[in-house]
Amino acid sequence: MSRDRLKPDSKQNRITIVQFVLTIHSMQLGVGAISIPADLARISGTDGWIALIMGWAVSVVASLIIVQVMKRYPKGTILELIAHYFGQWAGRLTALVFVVYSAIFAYLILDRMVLIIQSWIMQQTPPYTLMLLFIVPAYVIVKGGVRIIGRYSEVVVLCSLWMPLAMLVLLKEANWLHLLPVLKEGWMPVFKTVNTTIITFLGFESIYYIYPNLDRKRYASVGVAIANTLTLLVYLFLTLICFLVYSPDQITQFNDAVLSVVKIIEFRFLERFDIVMLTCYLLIISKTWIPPLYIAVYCTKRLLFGGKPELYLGVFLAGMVVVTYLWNPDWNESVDALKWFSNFGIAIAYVFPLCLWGVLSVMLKFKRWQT
Amino acid sequence: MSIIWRIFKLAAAAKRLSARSSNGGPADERGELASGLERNLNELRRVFSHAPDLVVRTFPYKQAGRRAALVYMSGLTDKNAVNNNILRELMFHIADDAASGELPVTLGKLQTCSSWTQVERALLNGMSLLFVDGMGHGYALDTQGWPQRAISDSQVEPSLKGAHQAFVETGESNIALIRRYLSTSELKIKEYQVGDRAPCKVSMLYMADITEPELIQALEKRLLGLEIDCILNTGQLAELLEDDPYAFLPQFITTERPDTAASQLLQGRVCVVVDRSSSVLIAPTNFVAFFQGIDDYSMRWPIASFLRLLRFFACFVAAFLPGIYIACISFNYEVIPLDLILSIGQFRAAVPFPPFIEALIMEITLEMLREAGVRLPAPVAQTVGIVGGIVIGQAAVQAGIVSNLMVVVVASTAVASFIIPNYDMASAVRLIRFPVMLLASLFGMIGIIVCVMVLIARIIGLHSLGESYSTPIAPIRVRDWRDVFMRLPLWTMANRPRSIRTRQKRRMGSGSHGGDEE
Repeated sequence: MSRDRLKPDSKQNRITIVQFVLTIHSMQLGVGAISIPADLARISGTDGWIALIMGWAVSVVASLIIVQVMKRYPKGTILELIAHYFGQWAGRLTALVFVVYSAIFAYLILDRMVLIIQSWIMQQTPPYTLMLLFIVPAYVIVKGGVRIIGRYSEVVVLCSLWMPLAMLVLLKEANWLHLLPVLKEGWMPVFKTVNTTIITFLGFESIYYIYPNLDRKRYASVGVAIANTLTLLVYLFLTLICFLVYSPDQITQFNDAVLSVVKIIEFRFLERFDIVMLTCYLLIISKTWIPPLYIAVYCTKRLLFGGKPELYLGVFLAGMVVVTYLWNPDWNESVDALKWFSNFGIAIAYVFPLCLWGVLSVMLKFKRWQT
Repeated sequence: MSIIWRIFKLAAAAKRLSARSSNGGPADERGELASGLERNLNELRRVFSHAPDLVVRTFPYKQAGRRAALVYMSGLTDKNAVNNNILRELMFHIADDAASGELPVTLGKLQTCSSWTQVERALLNGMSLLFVDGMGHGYALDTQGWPQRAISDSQVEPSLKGAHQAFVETGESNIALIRRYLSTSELKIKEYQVGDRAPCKVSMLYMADITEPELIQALEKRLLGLEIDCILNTGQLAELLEDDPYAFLPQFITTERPDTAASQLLQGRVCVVVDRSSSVLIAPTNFVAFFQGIDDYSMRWPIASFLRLLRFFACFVAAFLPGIYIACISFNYEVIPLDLILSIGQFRAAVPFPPFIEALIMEITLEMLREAGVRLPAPVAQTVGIVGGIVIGQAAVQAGIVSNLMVVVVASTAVASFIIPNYDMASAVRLIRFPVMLLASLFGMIGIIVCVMVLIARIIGLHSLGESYSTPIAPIRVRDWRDVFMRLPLWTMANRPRSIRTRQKRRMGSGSHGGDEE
């Protein structure tokens, strides 16, 4: 990675609006999609899909606020913005927070992905070996900077367009009565589920880092709305398919409901369609944890006053393998860790931009800071 | 890796610099021509010692009343022109206006040389040098005529409906072939000399009103920066010019076909014609351009679109089919229904090798057969086909070395790799399947998907002349897709593809000749 790959403003790092939308969408859609139908069903039964729409509304508002904040300093990422308004040390502190946040984000998703592979396809292979496999493409992609990440998202989205179509086959098993009556237990369970659904939309905080790279910034607000809507549509599609095929009680018994439901599809020449599907879905998961890895590298470079980004990237990737080798979290630990992490995520993606926006709005009322 | 490359380059540059300063400057300072004929000829004989093909003919130059000498390399010149248009005129003819000082030579191209470097270059390029006693300069007369191949059909890229003329080994003829398609003064040509020891004429062709000037400058900068003693063919030049020397995919198209070159020029690309090489380099290029053939545009569009899709599918098959087979057989057999796996097991029962080794044996045999076929003269090559088809194909199965199914898989892979129209791309795809097979045998489907990820990452990270290699897929340019996976009717392509930056966007309809209306 030449050093200017990390300069958000330079011409060769510009991304198009499509790349912007798909990068955000990619970071949102990942391991969560596999378990979300069951997670929703456990709390609010088959009305869970209504909570998805609410979660979407909240995340759109949060993304729009982030865009508003980023507009205050369009040349740089959130780190430059904070350094500009609040001084270098505040910038460095933010960088530290984001290093920790993104590294954990990337690690937990990668680890979850490896666990899914292990439980569905490769029971005998130790997780760190699997992780070792995936660090090669990750290295090549992150090395290329935001533009390559954007292109990767585009290619992966194009490559996976067949998957929802294949899942439409399941509609012949569908039982539309499962959805009725709508709101059978009132609004309360739905509201309780919103907490879960807003976590699944986490990932739009990548706007902090890719906004300055965006070519035409006036479309940013529309872009984030489209990105969130895309994610919502995918979630709704998966959730509804699962709800329609499985009965309301049955669905709570599956952890990875989406994979289990795909298992129903069978051909005369192909059994276990879920394995093929999961293998291809790994492409989609991979683009969930690659952007945070980039963010981690970017912040590390800011924190340590420059240095070689490749080195940091290598250290992060090696660190992930070593952590997995030593700690080797099992499924429950991974679930707990993600649950703990989601609080962190809510703070970073929902609370932090709101506070920042408030502070900046008040600050810029006074002439002194208007630079 | 790029850092190591840069260090290498730096070190090489430093070395060259020091070598140059110790030599006392470049070859240009070999000196000027003297005015005495004998002195010049002696110097010439000294420079061209041990060159029996150097012909020196001294004769009285009738018009000026002085002695003169004509010097040429006997194999590189057109003897007819030398005898009839130069010697005869000079020895016997006196022009009507002798006072004007015009040379009485009936040749078109004529230039004066005053330094020995120029003389040497002109002589070695097949020009005849005329020295006149008492003159401080010589005349280089265009009598080039070296052994040349006739213009014939393309061997590497045959086409059904396209033109049956392919490039030959002379740069000028190749440029003429392109000019026949683009008879417009907007076709501009810039010439460069590449190579320190044996300079080779390299011409850059572009359409002035279409091609983006930045691309021309980028290529020019790279051409001028080349430091090599000699280039032998276009492939070598392509390797020196490309953006990423470690990539396994070709980053420029090289073609033998003038019509392909013309069509690429019209799309706003730059064409590099290398003298002495029968293929032409086209830059910038992208991944999908390797799947377009010139025949696509002379066929009905539904058929052309079908062929396009077939090629992409073939590319996938050629790269991944053996890997998928290995993964399904040795790793993820739960994917295959029970009845099917039992019948596969029956085939495989006699085979002692694991699927990976079995595939490797067949693939390597196949690659050997192919390579043998390429290098052998045509009549013998048929024998290779028979040996490969009957002996190895059938006998290997009967002997229980490989299974029937593996032969089917490997054979379809081979056929698929022949469908890709560009030879460079086809060879690259052939190479991809070995790592895919290895990872598939170690990690099954997961190994394959990791290969896919690495492949995608490499392709989207590549650049050709600074332009994205993966356009119009990433960055997505949906408008260009009408000429990517499909070949929609020509009237839908009124605009030039966006994936190549061009000055002029429209290609058909009003304004296509005079440029865009601003």
